[in-house]
Amino acid sequence: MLGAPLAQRLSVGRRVGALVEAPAFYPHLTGWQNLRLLSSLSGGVPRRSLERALRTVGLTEAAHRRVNTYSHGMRQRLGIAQALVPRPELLILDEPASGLDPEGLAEVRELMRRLREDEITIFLSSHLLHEVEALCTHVAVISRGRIVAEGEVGGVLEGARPGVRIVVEDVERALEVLCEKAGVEATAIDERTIEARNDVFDAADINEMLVRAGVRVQELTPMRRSLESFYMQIIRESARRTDDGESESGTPKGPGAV
Amino acid sequence: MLGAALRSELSKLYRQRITWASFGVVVLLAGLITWGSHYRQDQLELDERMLSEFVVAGKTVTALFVAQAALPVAIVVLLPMLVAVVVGATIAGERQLGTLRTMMTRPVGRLTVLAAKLLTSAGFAAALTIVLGLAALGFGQAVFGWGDLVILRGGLTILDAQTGLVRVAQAYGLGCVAMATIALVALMFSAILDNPMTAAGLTVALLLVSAVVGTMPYFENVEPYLISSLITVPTDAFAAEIDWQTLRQSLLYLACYAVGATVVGGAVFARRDITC
Repeated sequence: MLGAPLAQRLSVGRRVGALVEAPAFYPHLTGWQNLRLLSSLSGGVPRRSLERALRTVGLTEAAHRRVNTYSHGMRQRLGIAQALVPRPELLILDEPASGLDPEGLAEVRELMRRLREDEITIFLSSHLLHEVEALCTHVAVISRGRIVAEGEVGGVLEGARPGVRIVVEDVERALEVLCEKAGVEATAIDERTIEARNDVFDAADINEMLVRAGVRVQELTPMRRSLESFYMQIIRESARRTDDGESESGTPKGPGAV
Repeated sequence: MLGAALRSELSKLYRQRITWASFGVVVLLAGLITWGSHYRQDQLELDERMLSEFVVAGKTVTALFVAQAALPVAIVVLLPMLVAVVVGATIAGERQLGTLRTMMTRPVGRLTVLAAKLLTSAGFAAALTIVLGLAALGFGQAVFGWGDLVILRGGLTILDAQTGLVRVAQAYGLGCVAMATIALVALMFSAILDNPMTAAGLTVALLLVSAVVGTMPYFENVEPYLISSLITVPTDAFAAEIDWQTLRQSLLYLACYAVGATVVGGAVFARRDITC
């Protein structure tokens, strides 16, 4: 971490702030008191550092209210404030938007935008991929405990193959036409919908193929290249590779955690 | 770093209502014992034979006497129960609340946190005992005034006020050690269990089971080693003559309980997953 081995966690930890999922605080204490208590474990910080952190997250006015009167979004912002004192070089945010309502989500998103401009490196771990796409400059995708893709967000998205979402009456027949005859990678999403990805055929080609084969197409939607579609693509590829490898070696399948 | 963790723990402990409620209960008990002594001071527990041979004149109930009367009453159930409830929440309560996880994101080691919690818990148990003593002395002084200490254990012994005060200080000092041991046992259960009330309940249950076992004839050989017997050791300071040999042995056994609880609690706390 920050170029030092993890054995030096405690000394490096002074340069790191962290928020792990939903932050917990002492409900009978005020936001200010909670912040003082936690910051004292970093060796104590001056009053103005606490004030600055509270100002950054927009909690100055609520600082002397008990935490049990805070909304979920306010607690999340207080969690980010505690991670900001003492002023860290690296900020680790694990699911900072977890359980937030749309208003809270917008508050945290806006806060992260401001922090990004404050020359702090933010390590954001999230399942909300559209948030990651909107906020991050670099991204890494982890599947089954391994990094399966990483790089700048723009660069990673270039690797995402364009896709088409197709609604048909006969999914089995459509899959047969696309996968077996045309060699297109296609997956059934539900009993009437298919997602097809490839670099050769566009939506019109796919429509023509299906219609010629007698499959009635009811809806055809080109899908934009997004982090979410890229994520689904590489997770499927990664899972298929793992399954193939396991089938060949005869080992049982893993839990498939992503 | 231990200093910072200690300040943080102290700050948390003395900002919660249950801590102050415990002190309040202890002061209330001292008040009740003073009140009881006021109405029963003419019926001091002297047996019939003694009253037929002696004439008791002058003041028998003093501030020191109230302090002497308060300790045995509190040390068996009330003080251990209060210590168990407050200390039982020290780790389990924070784990349940999730604050332990937030705390561990700071650059502080688990053993440092544990050491701070251990010192704070033992300190709280000692403080509770001292407050009981001071409250008993205070109420006793206000109602009965200062004077000699009448000791009724093993006959009738009258100690002058200065010697009596030393005895009271010794007894409450031993009480601090006994209650600190209970605090460490409660802290061990708090490190092992997820629910603070279960941790407190198990501590009290351990004392009750130990007390019941101590009354059974089959277990009379182990009775001196039971924690329920050891926590009453402070009252030995109110004997006509203190048996220092037995007292030292009892303190050694208490230390074994304290070290055992600390080692087990520490091992569990250092390894447990606190992220869930």
